[in-house]
Amino acid sequence: MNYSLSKGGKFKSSDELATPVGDYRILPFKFDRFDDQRYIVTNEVGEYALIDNEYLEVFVRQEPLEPKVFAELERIHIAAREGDAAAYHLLPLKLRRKYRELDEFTSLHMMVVTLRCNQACPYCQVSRQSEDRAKYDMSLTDAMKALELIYQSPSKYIKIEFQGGESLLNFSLIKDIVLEVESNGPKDKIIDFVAATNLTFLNAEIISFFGDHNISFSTSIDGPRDLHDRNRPYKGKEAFDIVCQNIIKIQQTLGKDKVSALMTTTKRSLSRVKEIIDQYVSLGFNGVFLRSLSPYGHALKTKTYYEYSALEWLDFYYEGLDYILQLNKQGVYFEEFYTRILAQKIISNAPNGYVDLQSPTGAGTMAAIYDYNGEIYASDEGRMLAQMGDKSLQLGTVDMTYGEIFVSDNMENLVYPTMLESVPMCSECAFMPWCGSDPSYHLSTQKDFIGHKAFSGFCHKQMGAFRHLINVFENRPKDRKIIQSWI
Amino acid sequence: MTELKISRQFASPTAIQKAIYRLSPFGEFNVCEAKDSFEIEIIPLKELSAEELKAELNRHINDYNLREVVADQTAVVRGLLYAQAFSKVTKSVVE
Repeated sequence: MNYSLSKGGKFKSSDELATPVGDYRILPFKFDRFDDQRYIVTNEVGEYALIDNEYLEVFVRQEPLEPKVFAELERIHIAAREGDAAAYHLLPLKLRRKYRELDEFTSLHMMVVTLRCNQACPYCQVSRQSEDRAKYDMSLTDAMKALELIYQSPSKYIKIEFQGGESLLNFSLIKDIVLEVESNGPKDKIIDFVAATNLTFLNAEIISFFGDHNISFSTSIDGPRDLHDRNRPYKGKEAFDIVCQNIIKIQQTLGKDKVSALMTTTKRSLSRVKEIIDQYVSLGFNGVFLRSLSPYGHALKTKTYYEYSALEWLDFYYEGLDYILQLNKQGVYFEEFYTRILAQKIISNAPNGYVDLQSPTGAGTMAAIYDYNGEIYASDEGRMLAQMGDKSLQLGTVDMTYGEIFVSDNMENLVYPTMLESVPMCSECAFMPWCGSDPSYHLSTQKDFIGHKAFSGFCHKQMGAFRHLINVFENRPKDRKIIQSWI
Repeated sequence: MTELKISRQFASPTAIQKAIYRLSPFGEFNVCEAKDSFEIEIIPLKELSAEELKAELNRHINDYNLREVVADQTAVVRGLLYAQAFSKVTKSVVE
């Protein structure tokens, strides 16, 4: 467009601006019905536009288009005037940026230091063992072998997450691992630690060690007292007060950024999203992840997983997000983390490290888990499936070499089918550039890494969330601004 | 019986297959190929009536036809974009 007055240019005349654009090319794009009046169109990196139904076929047939409509399509590089090569230079750059994370490969390494646990949550994804069964602890030998494998990851930034059961039940091994990494770990990598724990017990020694070695806590709060305690039975006592006291203790001793929390949505949670959010706000957290139940472990055995549908969870999510946005407007900075992840994918094509929504799958390529018995899985869900008898997601053991584990047939068999570009329904879906694969979910629910997406609860949730966010971005500018401030 | 009759001129077999795949939670579809057309028997299962399902099927077939046109027209460009995006990676590995 020729509009530089200082260089002797001129504005287009009103006749030119009103003239339909006829001489153009189309570039690759995907589309889907957005509502009764419009389609959503996306380019290869997820930049999107909404166009009225009548214009899609006009565009595909390359017939003259209204200038405003053409401008929208040109903006996202799916239409280009003859002789205009900008899109052909910009799109490859954006593609490289989008897939940049694959270069880093596995950066999140989870170590299951023990399978023992002191709680009995009905929706637990892990087949936990009772507290006194020490044979379900990871051995020091296996831990050291796991570290040797972790060091070989190409990623400069490594996060080691201690998992369980209840990870703090094997605090001595956590100490051994951390001290080993600090003494003998590679100096050209930045290695962070986090411990997933139910925080039902915490002592001065743990807090002091975690503080001295910059280790974070990740815990669970399912909502207000009755909801949390009902979901998370603890030795006949109520865990809620204990957990909250420990959260506050950590915040006061080590800082607010040293403890985070996750919640799990059960049937009982569905009507109480505002109370759940209020609980998080009262505990000083700056956000919540409104995540749904996963179909593994005890959640399947106790049939907790089947208690609600994708649509019911979406209603819960919409209500929760609206409430959070309202809080923000009242001056309370509070994020919904799942929304932040999705918004980042929609608004920018920068990688965001969220393992569970990647194409190809983040299982193995971004995260791996080293089980208490030395077995290595592509994801936490993969080891849970193994406990249910399905070892499809096992990559190997700590006794194998890095190449045998991460450049293996098992890895290849996992990566290939999870590239959405080759998956039925996904390959042509307008939301594909923002979406990802969850092979564990589909293996658990449909006995297949890919699954039939028309029947997939995972797909229904994703599409519902994407559509909702696009609606917010298009029709609620103040809310859009708040969500953008989270990115 | 609810049936959708669609000319071969306006729908490819692949487009019909994909539309049925997408709507499979909502109904059963029996496809009969005639010389110049496809005749699709529609049996609703849940949520949608037979007429609603027929309208949805027609819409999705049309959309998948358009997607085929887009794919045909942009396949070469798409390959070039990806080659351009990742060719430097290949180059650096070789070097």
